[in-house]
Amino acid sequence: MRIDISGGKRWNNWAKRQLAKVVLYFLYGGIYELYKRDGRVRKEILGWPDGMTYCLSCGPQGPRLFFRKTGKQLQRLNPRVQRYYDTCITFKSLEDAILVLTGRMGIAGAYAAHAFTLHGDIGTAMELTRCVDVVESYLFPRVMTKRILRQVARKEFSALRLYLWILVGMVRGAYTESREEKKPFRIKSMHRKFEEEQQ
Amino acid sequence: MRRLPDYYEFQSSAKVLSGKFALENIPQELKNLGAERPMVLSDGILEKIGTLGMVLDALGSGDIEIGGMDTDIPADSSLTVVHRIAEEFRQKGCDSLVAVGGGSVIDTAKGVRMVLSQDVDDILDIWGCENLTRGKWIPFVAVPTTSGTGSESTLVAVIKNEARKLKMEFISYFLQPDVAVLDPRMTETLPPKTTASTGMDALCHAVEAYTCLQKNPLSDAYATAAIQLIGENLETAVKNGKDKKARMAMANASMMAGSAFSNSMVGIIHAIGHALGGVCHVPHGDAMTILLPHGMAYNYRLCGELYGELLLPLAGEEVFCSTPKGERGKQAIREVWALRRRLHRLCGLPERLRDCGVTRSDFQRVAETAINDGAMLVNPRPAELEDVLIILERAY
Repeated sequence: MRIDISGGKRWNNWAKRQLAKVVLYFLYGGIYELYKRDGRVRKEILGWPDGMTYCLSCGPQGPRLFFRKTGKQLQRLNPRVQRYYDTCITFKSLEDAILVLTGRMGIAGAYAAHAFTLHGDIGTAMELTRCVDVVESYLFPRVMTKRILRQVARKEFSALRLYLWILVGMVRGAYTESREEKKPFRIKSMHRKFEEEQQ
Repeated sequence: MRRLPDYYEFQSSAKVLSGKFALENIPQELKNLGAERPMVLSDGILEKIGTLGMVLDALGSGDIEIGGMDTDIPADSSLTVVHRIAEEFRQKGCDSLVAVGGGSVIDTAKGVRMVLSQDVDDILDIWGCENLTRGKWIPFVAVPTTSGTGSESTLVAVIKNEARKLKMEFISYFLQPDVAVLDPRMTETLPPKTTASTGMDALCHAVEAYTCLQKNPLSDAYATAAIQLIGENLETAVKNGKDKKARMAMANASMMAGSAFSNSMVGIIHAIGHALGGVCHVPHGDAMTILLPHGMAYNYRLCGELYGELLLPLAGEEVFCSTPKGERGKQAIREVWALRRRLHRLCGLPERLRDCGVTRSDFQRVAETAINDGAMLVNPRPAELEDVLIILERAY
């Protein structure tokens, strides 16, 4: 029997999904801009192999962010088209995702609270986690980051400048999603599936 | 006052058979689980020294027909071996697994069970953390022959990917065996040095479980009980391997420490230990022995009070009561140093990385590998590359 969820909960879920979409957009913007400007994020992402594809999913049915390192650039992928990834962090529920995306819980805290599942190599998830920690140190006020991060990253420039760069990036269309599906880097079985479906 | 985490999860689902003639109860447990044709996994050494024979005798006495047996499992479980055994399992029509051995045999069995229960051809398809559903149920009995890894009660499996030269970590509640069998006959032939090294591994599991970010009241209970058993029995088991009480205490301690760290995870000591194993092939127990006091010292700033609480199970009430409250954390670290020193004198357990063939030129690669280990995420104090290099230098 299908459960009819209450109107309040439906509205609440809709609002949370919209909020998650917006925060995921800004999170990607933060990663993209800091890759160009912050030494720690740049060093981290430069170490990723070409084609490395990450997915961050806000619950099994929630909004998703796919992005890929293509050459020396980061590219946002279209979650309606893209299916394959190398590493995917899936929050167990939309509520867990919102706690993290709104700066009320850090990634380490979310891991400790079993708030997400991981598909793929935990080592690559660690690389992404370090980037997200730096981005959060910029995007959220210190009063929040002190509570949720084990160590708040020192800012190399002000958060305001980062917000401005993100706004400029939005206007320039730097975060536009790619139209076609892209091949992930590592997982051979994923390659096989990808190639079979391309034929 | 003990503070509950805002949220926690805990599962330790293996039924434990512990004590005399535990092996003889495996047939009934298999029947209870609906298993009729188990596949037995072990390694060549255990077959040669007769340890595996004891398990087979117990199975035979209970009218269990074995569907297949594989004793070619190497010291590091690997993808190739997992896939080969899974194929053999299917071909021979087996319906359950009995793993007899140390961490690598039990982890191989976990890998085989994953491939079979998830019905995949390639284990890489299901690589991850808490990402599995239960799938097809394959009854699984683990009989540990060392007292250290705790693999018989953990939700973790580490399987080597030879092609990519890395150890892949799988974490899922569905990796826990259905039955863990702790029989004193299984560990009594373990040499003193291996007993000491695996015992220190178990101690490390318990100490890290008590201090990592996922700690919770249940994992704390398992961790402190394990530390008390180790504190009271490890040296006796090293001195006299035939002491059944000490052996059983260590087997229980290992299983409980495994259960504790399965639900609370391990931290920086294991992260560096895994890297030392991968890069320099340092045996895991030796790495834990060397790194434990250094890791505790690194975390002391944030975990001093928790270490102070561990002084009671580790050193006993006399030491605990005679140590001022503010000094107990440091005293706990001193007790670990002292235990390590005594074990070194007893059986030559290594105390420095240089004793294990590590050179300073390896440090950079070890540190780079360690900071990408999942265990780093739950260590209470974050660590960067430079921090790991400092710990390695101190342990050298």
